[in-house]
Amino acid sequence: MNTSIDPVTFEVIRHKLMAITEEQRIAFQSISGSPVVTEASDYYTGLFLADGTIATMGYKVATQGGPMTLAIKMLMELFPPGRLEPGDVFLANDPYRAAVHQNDIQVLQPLFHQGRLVAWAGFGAHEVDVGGMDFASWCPKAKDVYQEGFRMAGVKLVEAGNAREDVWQFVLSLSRLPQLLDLDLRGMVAAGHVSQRRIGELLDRYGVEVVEAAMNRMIRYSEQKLRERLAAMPDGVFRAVDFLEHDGHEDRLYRVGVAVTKKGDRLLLDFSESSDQAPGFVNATKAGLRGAVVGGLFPSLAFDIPWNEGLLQPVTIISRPGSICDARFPAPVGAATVEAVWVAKNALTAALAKLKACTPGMHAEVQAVSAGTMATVNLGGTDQYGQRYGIHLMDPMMSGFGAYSGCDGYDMGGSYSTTIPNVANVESNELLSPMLYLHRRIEPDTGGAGTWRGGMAASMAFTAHGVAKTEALIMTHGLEVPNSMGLFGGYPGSCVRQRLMRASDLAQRHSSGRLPVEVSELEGELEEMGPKPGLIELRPGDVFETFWQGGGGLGDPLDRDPASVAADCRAGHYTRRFAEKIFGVVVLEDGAVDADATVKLRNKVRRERLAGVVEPRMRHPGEADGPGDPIAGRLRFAPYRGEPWFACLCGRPLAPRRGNWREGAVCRTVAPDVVAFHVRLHPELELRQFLCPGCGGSLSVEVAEKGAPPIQDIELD
Amino acid sequence: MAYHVGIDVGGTFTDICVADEDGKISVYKTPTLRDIGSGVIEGLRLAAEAEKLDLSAFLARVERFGHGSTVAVNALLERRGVRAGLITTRGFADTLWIARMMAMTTGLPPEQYTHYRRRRRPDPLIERRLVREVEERVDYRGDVVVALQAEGARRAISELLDAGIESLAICTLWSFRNPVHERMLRKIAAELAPELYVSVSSELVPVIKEYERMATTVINAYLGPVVKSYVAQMGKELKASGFGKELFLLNSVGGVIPPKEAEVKPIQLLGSGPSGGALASQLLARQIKEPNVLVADMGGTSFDAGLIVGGELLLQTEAVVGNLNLLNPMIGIRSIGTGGGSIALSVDGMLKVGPESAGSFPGPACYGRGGTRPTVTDADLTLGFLNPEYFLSGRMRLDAEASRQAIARHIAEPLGLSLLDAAAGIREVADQQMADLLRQSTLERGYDPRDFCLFAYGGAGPVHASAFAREAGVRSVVIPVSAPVFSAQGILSADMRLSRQRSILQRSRGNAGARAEGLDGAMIEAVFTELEAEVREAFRRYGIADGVRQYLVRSVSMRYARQVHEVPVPVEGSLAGPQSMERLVAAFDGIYEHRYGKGTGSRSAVIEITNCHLQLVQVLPKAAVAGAYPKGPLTASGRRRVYLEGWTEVPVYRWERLPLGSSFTGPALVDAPGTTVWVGPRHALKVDDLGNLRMELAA
Repeated sequence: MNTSIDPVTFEVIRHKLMAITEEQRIAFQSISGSPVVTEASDYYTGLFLADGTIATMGYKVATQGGPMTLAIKMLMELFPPGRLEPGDVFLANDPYRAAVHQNDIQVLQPLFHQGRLVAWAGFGAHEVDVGGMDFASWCPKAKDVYQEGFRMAGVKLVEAGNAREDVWQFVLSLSRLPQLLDLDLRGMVAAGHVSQRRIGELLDRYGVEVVEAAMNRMIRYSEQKLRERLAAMPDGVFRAVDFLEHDGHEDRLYRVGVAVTKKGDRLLLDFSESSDQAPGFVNATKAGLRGAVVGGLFPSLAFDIPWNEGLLQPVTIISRPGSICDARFPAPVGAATVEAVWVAKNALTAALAKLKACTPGMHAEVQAVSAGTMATVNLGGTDQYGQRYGIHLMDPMMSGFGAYSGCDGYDMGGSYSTTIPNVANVESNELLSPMLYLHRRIEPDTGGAGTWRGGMAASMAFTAHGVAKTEALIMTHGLEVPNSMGLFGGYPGSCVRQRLMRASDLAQRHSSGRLPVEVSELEGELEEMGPKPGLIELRPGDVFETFWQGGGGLGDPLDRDPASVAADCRAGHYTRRFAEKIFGVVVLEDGAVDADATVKLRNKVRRERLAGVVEPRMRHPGEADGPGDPIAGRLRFAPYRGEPWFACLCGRPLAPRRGNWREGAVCRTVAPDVVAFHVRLHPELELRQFLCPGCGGSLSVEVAEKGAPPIQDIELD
Repeated sequence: MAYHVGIDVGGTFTDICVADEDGKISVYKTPTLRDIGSGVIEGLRLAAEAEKLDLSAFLARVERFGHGSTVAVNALLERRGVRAGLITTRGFADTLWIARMMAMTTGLPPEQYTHYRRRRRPDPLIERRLVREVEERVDYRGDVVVALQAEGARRAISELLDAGIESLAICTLWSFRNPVHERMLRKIAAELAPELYVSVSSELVPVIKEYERMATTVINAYLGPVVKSYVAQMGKELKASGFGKELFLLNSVGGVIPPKEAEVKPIQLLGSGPSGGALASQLLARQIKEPNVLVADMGGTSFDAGLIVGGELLLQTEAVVGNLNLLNPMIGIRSIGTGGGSIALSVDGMLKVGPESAGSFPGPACYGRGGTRPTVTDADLTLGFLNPEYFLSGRMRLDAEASRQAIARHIAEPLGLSLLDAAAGIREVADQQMADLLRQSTLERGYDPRDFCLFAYGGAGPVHASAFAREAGVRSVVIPVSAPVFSAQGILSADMRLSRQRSILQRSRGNAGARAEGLDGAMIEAVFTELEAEVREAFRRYGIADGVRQYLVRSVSMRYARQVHEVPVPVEGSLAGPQSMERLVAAFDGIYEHRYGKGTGSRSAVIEITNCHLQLVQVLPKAAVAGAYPKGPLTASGRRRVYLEGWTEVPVYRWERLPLGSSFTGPALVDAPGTTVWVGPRHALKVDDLGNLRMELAA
């Protein structure tokens, strides 16, 4: 640990370690060849210290890095020193010990130098099927983890360099898609060989002490940078909640609440205020929650710091055993990644955005919630070539990114924890699977409105093609919960919508020379699907149509530059009706803004917002003294009677800096169509808008359980 | 006297390379003018003067004229193409904007991947309102699901014409499998606007992947009219000056094409930048009988690595040009931002080199043009590797004190290192970065860097080559004698290559005992016959006679069903004969396993053949390169102090005074007009019989 290392050697070794991580990717991706790995990039590569500490991470799905540390620690308990050998390779995927969910197969290899354990290489990939009661191993009806995909603490796949064929074949026999699993396992094993060889060369040259010192320094450096960043942030508690609906059995609502306490250079992330665990597959385990923290915190706070274990050193994670964030064995957890883990990540990024907003110099990084859901569409059965197939469509990753304080969110920004997202071509999917797309496009009116708007989401519609029938597994959350919440007065992005038209007249339309592209152009039995229809059968002519969540907006939409709204209308991102109803901007038929009508309309909306609202709890006369320092949206810190206060841009003082700004604001409950066209609410939820009593400006729009007391989202020391 | 002329138009300079019948090569440099044609004519005038001829007399003696031009790539990067429209299948007009979600990260340096706020979308080449959808649909088999609605298509194209489009891209789903609708669309466009420039995806890039195919078709339509007027103008000026033969343009796969072909497929010019150097490397590799070569070009701002395997340049089928995805074969180059001008920084007690570059202006601190931040070149100078009096043959004096100050202030002091350790550190970090790139560029193609010889060129390459090559595991390094004019020389040596491809789909039955069962060799032969007729017809159209010094290169793309990687497999001999498909499958297995590792091929798997490629090569006459070399003993021209682990005095040679066949062992330096070669301790250097320097690296 104390070996000193000069800056040159350090930089050389650091670069080598990153190069090894890249060579791991090359080896894995080349061999795997499976579309999830080669086209959609749902996988993980990285290096760990001998004790499992994350040293490097490849630029792929970050969430898997957190649990892998736990997997290594677990393996070292199972195989104490002396029982690990060079050339051993292990497979692990147990969410109750060290995985996000069972589909994330981990392959781990201890790396040796001159007989001594010096590091680990770890790889992960989402496998389409790992057994369980339903195809694709997402089993909505599962009541416990035994009904879900296979679960292995750690089995030795390769012993001292020799594949254990008995174990290998046993593992493959548990999957409905053994060939795909086989390819990915081979790819990960090959990446392990590369790691061992390259780490060996590095150690031969520089010696174990120097390389370990370099790795530790990388980790300490990231830790130190994050601590410096935290130290410059104000102390306080920052809260956010998010929800998911439907546990596979019933359409119940579950809450994930996080309180982020920032003190000095430390962070405490407390997820205790979350619902009790569910009887169905939406739960997260403690290991999964660690994945959520990596996936949410790293991009939020360490966007310019190398990602490794050092970023977790200043962080303490607290959860309540028996809650949806920390389920007790043997609760089912098969959908954890896209359910409780995803929602925990949403809540965490929202709370951290509030912390950043209160920090001078961090405003540009304040971002509304991105891609609040990852809807799942898996297809399987017999393909058009008569062979068994399965595909995990990554199209639902085309959700919108949250708006920043200063720029719009990215259209189709993808999952927040995937650094280089990709989706497959329509033609690739149609080649590999018996499907015919009717459309794949950017869906208008999906991006959350705001001074800065959220990114747009895409949509798709497809039918079965080239087969008599095929199976589709469909599930999501966020159909009745706008998870991609806006911040600081911005509005939420769209909810997911899933529709199925059975026995449509698509074939007749085709033969009469028409090309319908959506269900509204077809006749048939149209079913508005709930969030978790589960496994369905799809025949040619049955059309599944869906769109996903747009990103959350930031700041009051009435403050958005009308010219930007008009430009978005011309680009087809918003309809003119949306521009008028939600942004208060009158866009003429030729695409130009009617400036006078817009000013009048916006003033009218502001007046209407305040009509009939109850007076604020606290009323403070006079105005803040000067514009002060921006927080985000209309909120700012401004001097009032010589003290720093929360205030609105219009000058209205709301609360002392240490107080609750909501007490100086007014609150009203709004219908979803006031903030968006594609937002629906679960029966247990309501939408609340906090307004400046002076100007009617939107300060916050949030979802809450009906009747629940408001949270104090910013509580500064 | 007859001449061969190669012209390489770069961003700053235009290099004119003239070879005469005796193999004497002369090079002339002129500034690249905004009006490129006038700059070229100016350069030719210089060459003519040197040959004591007037321009028209000189041009009348030019046998062949090869031209490497940045016109296409510059028009693309600077968004100076034309207003293009796009026609596509109904339901998919947003394909370019969805861009498989890749557009926001394509071309970003990896350090920025995690900083989501810095994601940027490239400016689109076309306006969204100029995309029109038509009703038509073809499926994965090529079956027509819905026939093209011609009336709607006619309306759509008319609307685009009314909107003022200057070119049209046509790209529909699965058109590469059945181009019937794209052909009809082209016909409708021709009826409505006979003069309109039209790019059709199934003609241009008939391969699966609609996003990349569409992006490529749009780039082609965007550039087409620009390239067309460029070559017309250039042809006119040359003709007016007395040139009577055909002008050839360098393409991105290391061949030349006639102007007509460049007009139709301007995307072929996009990757031509590194083509010249790669071609010269290929020529040299054949001359010195090195089958496997790593081609390493270290310039001021970047380090580019390419591969020659078995004497052939390795190509890549997909590329990124200025943040845009392009599906067109190009010489496979991997790049990092490490060059002579790369800036060294101290960040939180760590030393970083690049990717930020001081460029050529202000350039390294030692250039004395106002640069104050230390670069790799400053480190080289401080450590004695460069001769401040003999940079660019002494045409530029380097300010060694400025280098020392920059390194002391920005690196040594903040990091607590001595000046020399700081300078050595900059060199070390840069060398390691380049070595890692060399490793990755071989590994990802399934090769081992230890099986390669490395050619180092570019101004900064030879002074670093022995270090980065050794680090990458390479055993020998060649510094080509013509390194400074490598690119222009490569253009002189290019053959004419016209390619055509067609998408097909054949699937084997997956019978482990008869692996080729289900594959139809006769059908593939028939496709090749058609492609050959097409390309020969194109030759005739371009006025090239049949037969003499021509050969065909044929290959098919193959893969295991359900896998995404396709592998090109050469087709030698007819596929119609008995057992020929079995041999093809065996060749595929071998190539696949070589590239992706033993055991990755699956003996029982279904095999698919997805594409036929055919290239007709016209071998063009080449200028033989020869030089005048001194005879007599090897003598050093001086000595210089170089800092290794301490100061060491080493002999310095002048390249032009090194006798052929002479040899010595490092440490030593060889100064040349455009570069300096560092021969590390115990490395053995030999001047080969062409004048190239060959170093065998000590272990």
